[in-house]
Amino acid sequence: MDAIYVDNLTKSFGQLKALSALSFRVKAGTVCGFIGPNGAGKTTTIRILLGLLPKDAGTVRILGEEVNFGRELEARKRLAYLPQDPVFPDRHTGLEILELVGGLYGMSPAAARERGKALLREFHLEKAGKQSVGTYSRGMKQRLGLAACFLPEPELLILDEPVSALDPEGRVEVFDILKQLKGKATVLFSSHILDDVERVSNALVMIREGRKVIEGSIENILNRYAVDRLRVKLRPDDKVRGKEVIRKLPWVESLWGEDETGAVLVDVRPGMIEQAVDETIAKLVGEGLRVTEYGRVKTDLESLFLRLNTGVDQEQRPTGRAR
Amino acid sequence: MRVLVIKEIRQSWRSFRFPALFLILLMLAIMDPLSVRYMGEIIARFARGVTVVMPPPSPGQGVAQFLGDVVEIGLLVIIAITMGSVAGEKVSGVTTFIVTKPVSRKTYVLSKFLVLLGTVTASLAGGTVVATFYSRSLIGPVDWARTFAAAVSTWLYAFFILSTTFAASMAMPSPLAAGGTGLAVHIATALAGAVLGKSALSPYLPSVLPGNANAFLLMGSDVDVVARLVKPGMTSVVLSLLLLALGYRAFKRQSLP
Repeated sequence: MDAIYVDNLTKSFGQLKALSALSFRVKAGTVCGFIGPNGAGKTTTIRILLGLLPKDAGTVRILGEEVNFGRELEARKRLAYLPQDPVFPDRHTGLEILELVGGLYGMSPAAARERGKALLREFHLEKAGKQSVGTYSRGMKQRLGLAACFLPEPELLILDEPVSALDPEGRVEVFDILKQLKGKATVLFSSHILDDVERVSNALVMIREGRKVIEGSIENILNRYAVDRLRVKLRPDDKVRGKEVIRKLPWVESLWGEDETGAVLVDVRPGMIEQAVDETIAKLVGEGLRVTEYGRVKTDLESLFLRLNTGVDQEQRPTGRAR
Repeated sequence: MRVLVIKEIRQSWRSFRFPALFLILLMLAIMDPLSVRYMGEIIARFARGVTVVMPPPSPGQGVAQFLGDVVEIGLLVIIAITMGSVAGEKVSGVTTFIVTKPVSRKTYVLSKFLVLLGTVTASLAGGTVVATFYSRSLIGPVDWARTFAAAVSTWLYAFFILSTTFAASMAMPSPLAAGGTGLAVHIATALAGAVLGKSALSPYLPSVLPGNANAFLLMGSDVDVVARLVKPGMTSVVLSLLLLALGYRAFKRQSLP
């Protein structure tokens, strides 16, 4: 079952076309990263999903219910939303906010209070829970917003840049929680930190200029868009001769160049990467060349993002990692 | 609804919006009977050598002056606490925080309106009771029935201005625009009363309501209380409900950040 179904979604703001026939699905139980450059239409899509903004055309369904602007969405009972910069009624304490959220989801005051206290502890806001949220920092508000999202134990979480204001430790903790939700709840979260998306998600939707660029499981996407490339680091005095040897190998298409460490990057002909990985090092060693580092260049999400959105091949930059 | 009403009371109490209205009306309720009772003595102190002849104050005068001040000063405070009620939360993002939870936009605005109306009603009732008891102890016995009718008339006008400002707060994108609309309606109502004062419509105009306090409490028993209350009161209530419905219709169709 699709927790989120978007088909041919179109939205314009005057002359500006924000979304153009955008279609994607998020299966129930997946943690789906929603990525794209600034202005790609991520927040616009999320606002339409939540019924906060009317669409021009297309179909949107949340937890099986069609979203129509101006009509109350029943599915809100089963979903939670965290905006990029969470806002709360500022004369309330953190615990009162969680009690309010619990009440809105139909929890009893006692149950909301108990669960609220537990979540404040989990998000390191136990002391701050007695302070007015007007005094909270951006990071504290984001943690309280996340606690508010987890409070009703929703089936679907829609999180817009959920960790943008958190320190590295806080980010790891939140992503650990999100990882645990795989299979139990559906999470759609936008982020510009692609390492985080790759670490946590098992699915991905990438958009650019209001159009879908790619969609699917992270593993399939990375395999599909993987660059067949080897990274070979030779002793400096062997490098020239080593390049000559590599260039003559039948599976080598071209030498890409060198990375910042001086390792040679080798483009491999399509379909021959396995043979290249197995035999290149044997040939080099057989020629008496000294190889200090060797491996296949892994395509990570960041390099894929750059390649698909800017046309720049990230593997020529230092971020290309060897396996 | 209960959860949102509690949130609204808490928010308004802690931001001092509601205590402000209550304290201002309470201050007027104490000051007005005092000034009415001692006006002769006060003027005599400043006008030495001049003989000041003033008719003795009537018991209803203290309450009438309080209700007059509610229209002149209290309504500005009501406009001020109402204008940002929805518009301010739309701008800040609190509205989005609420309506993305399982609660309807109707419940959200209704809880706000009920708390505002309750505060205005309680403050006006409290002020009227204080002004009446104070006038009674300073000047003399007060006609309770007429005092009640005068307070109801002032409340009906306050309801009209509150509804107008609240409707504008729902429909408009900023608190300032909503407050300006409430003030403009307040002024336009008074102007309409002056312009249409001799026409057949005049008994039905909401502008009749603020003047009723003087009429009921100072003009003797020949004033038709029911006629002066029911006709403009009905117009005010009908107009208020209409404006609230239009304001909600606009709010329901608004995109939220």
